Amino acid sequence: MDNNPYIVRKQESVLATNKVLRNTYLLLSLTLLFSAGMAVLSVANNARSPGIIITLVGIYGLMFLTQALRNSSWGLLAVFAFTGFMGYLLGPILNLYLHNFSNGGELIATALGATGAVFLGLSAYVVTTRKDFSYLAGFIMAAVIGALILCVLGIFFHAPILSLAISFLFVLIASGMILFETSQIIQGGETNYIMATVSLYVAIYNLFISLLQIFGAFAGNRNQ
Amino acid sequence: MGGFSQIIAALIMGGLAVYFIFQVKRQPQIFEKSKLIKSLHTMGIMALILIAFIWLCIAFLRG
Repeated sequence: MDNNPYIVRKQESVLATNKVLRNTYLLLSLTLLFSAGMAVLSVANNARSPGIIITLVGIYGLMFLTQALRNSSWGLLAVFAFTGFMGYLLGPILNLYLHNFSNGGELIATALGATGAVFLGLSAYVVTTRKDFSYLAGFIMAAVIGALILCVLGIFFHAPILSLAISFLFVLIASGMILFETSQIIQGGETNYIMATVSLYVAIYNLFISLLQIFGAFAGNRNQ
Repeated sequence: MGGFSQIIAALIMGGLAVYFIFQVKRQPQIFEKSKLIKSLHTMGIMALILIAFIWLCIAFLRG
């Protein structure tokens, strides 16, 4: 047994980090499964988009609720409510692809597989190398604001090339978010597994939607 | 087609921006020039890898 206080503290810190990482991945798996279940239900029931107001209130309200309850067990309920709502919102998007493209199912499956591959690849890289990617924070924040501005422009000017550029930017930002957040957990910068889960979930969700849009644009066979 | 999904993505990104603002409010040092240059390098390499990967996926879908 080692009695050196520095080594003991370091071992405790590593154990705490591993616990946060394990809890985050466990909660992330459960929320992704729940979200997928909600998306399947939404697709099966041919659910329509709930409208911009409900979408806005739902996403931000549940996100802030999760943030507010992050230190209590109610936070778990809030994170499931948030991811379930996000899963429900996927339904109308998936239905559009299934109805408008003859290879819609293939596009969705490929986007899902590619999202999984990117997430696993980036997470495995950070976990094995234990590199500190905290320096990405400023760049990602600037990129998010840039993407938001492009999004607003995209709503007013319906340019397909702008839409694709936004999707590529979202793929890059989401990948950067995965690197950053995983590194934060490993380095002990993020100690709350509920917030880490929300952050990773949002990155994965964005990655999936953006990849689906890119695949639809380049390899989708539209129904006549 | 992509309108609704893009609005959702924009909303999510907005949430992320708020989250980041909360996170970096106490750390103005994250915008240091050296960190931004290092970030540009990392993201540039990752962008190239992602473009190659997406191209492979599209080739698979078309094939």
